Amino acid sequence: MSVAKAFAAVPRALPRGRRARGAPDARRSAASLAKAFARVPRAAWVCALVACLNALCWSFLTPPFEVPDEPFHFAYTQQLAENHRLPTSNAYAFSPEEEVVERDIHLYEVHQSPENRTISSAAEERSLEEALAQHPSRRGNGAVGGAYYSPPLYYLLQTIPYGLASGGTLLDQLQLMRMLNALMGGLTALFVFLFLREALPRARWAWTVGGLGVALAPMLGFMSGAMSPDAMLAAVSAAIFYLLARAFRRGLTLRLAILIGVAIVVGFLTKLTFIGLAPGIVLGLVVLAVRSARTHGRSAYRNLGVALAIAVSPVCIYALVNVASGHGGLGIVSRSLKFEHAQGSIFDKASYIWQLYLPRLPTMRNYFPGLFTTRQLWFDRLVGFYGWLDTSFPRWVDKLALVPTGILVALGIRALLGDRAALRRRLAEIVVYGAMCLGLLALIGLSSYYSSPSEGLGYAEPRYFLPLLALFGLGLALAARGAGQRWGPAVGAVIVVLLLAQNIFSQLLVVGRYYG
Amino acid sequence: MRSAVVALGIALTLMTIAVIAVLVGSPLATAGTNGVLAKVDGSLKKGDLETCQPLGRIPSGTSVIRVAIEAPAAGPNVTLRVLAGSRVLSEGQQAAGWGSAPKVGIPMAGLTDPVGDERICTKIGPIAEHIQIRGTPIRQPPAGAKLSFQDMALGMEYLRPATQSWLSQASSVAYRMGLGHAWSGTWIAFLVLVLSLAVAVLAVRLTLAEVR
Repeated sequence: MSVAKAFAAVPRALPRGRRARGAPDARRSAASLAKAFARVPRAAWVCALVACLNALCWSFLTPPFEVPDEPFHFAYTQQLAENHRLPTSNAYAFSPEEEVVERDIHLYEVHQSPENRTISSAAEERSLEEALAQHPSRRGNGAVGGAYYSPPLYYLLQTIPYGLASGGTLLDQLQLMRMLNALMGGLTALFVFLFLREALPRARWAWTVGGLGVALAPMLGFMSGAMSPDAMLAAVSAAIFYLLARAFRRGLTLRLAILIGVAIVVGFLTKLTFIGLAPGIVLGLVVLAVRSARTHGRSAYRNLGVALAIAVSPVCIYALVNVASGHGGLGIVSRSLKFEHAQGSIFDKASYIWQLYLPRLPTMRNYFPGLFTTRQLWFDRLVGFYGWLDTSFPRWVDKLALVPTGILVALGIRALLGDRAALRRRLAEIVVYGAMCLGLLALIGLSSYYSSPSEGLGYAEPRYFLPLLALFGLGLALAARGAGQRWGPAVGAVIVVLLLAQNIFSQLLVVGRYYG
Repeated sequence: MRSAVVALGIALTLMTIAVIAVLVGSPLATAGTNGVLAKVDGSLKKGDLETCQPLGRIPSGTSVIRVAIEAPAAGPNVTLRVLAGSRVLSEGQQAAGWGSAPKVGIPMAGLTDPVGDERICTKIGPIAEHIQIRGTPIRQPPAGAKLSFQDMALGMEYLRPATQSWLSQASSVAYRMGLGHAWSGTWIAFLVLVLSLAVAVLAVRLTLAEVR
């Protein structure tokens, strides 16, 4: 039976009474959904398509498992699909099938060793195929490495492509799972475009500049072309930025409150990094409710309550289950956040986090001797940093990138200062986005602080900024607008080509590193 | 708007020229090593450290020297100096933040001719994280003391541009791109190319339609 026929059969299968009420409701919902889709501008769909195709391209050119933590994420999905249980340990011992693939593609010789290439001869390919033809077991012992502390939603979704390709080899499954991530890359670009439409309602062409800029961002392509919850987190975060911006324009309606609440739940269940965004989102909801209360009275607070109740419900259920089973309230999550290893004063932590992103102030203890973190850890890595933190451009490229970046930042500031009245009018909204950004940076910094004795600066990875892509798109759109009415479109066109060039050269870099 | 079309045209032309320039250039290839085996691992936790060792013969055209210094995530400043007596013949530096790898490549200028009997000095630091070094002991530390950075000769590899350009290696690169993936075959490389072109065409068309 085709999918369409199956859907058509549903009303007939319902009891008479329910059918009578349910069918028109369903038709109305479908019609309103269709209307909502129809209202999305064509340019937004093209941006989504560009991001999706770009991620697909990355998925074919990045060798299997040559993306940070991809083996762990695959093991987690395999554990759910094959053993129907959550992971049981963070050990690095996976299913025999995954171990065979890792061995035969020389994963551990290649990753973090840029001088080593991946599998490169027909004999090696034959050996891999023969090993997989023996159908090694897909059942692991529950160990999933570093993904152990992750919430399960993303991995549950990934069991769909995993199951669809289960007749093939692990490599087939992984490719299909990467394709699902490519769709999430497309969703990210779509939501960023919609966010820009709400945030900058008068600058239609600037939406395209920001949307395309995000769609072409190589870090989004790299992570959406791999199997990683970072892509889903990016999509959910972009959706929340869009919903908040919409609520700031049109008020916090019940529908928006429910959607924001659901998006928060999805975010929490996707990746723990989402916790960093949460305080800013809650602040946004409170601001929106207070604002709406002036015109709509108490119903505004009801909407706030609905959003928060939906948002915290899974956390409460999770905590209750943990307490009932004798574990800590936040279970393995609290271990991931390392609350039990809390050390150092709050000033130590604040100083560390400050220095992780910005130059050290004179009174601060130096946590990063010899390292200009703003430039060397973040800017250079945002220019290009792929593989297992082992593939980057030569330093002269990073230096060259400072020039257009400086110009764009200056233009963005000019755009902001040029419309100070609007800035004042929308201060609360700006503070909310700032709080989301700061919350995420603080969480990354705190995680780095706690793990630095054992892992060094392992958290200094630009992929952790993917939840802020909406603000990146906003920055690009503002930079284009900052060039003024006459030159703005020209600067916008140059911005798109700059991102396109960064993406193409990043792909060439990765091709040269693995197949050269 | 005409200015947007002109800007787009100029930017795309410059990008195409840059891509061609990269493709006609040559990748770096290992031309030799200093023969120092990775017999022992050492670890460094902090400080500015420098050690010198005999240079030996360097293949002509060497433009990058890869040194066996491993960082877990960030990587410290690493400076190499080639000295004849006290005269600096060549110097190169890799700034901190080079990532996570068991070896670090240092671009060197002025090493176009083979040299011999000179010393090469490696300076590391300041160090912000635990660093591993690999090489061979050149002297024994005092009794009871641990092997220090200064007691080791570090393993080094010499890299220079290959004789073939990226473009002339395209077919072998395409062949390797078709190995070790879900679906095998050189067509994977063409698929990547088609997807890449589709992305570029869609982005440019949308920009032209919306921005001008």
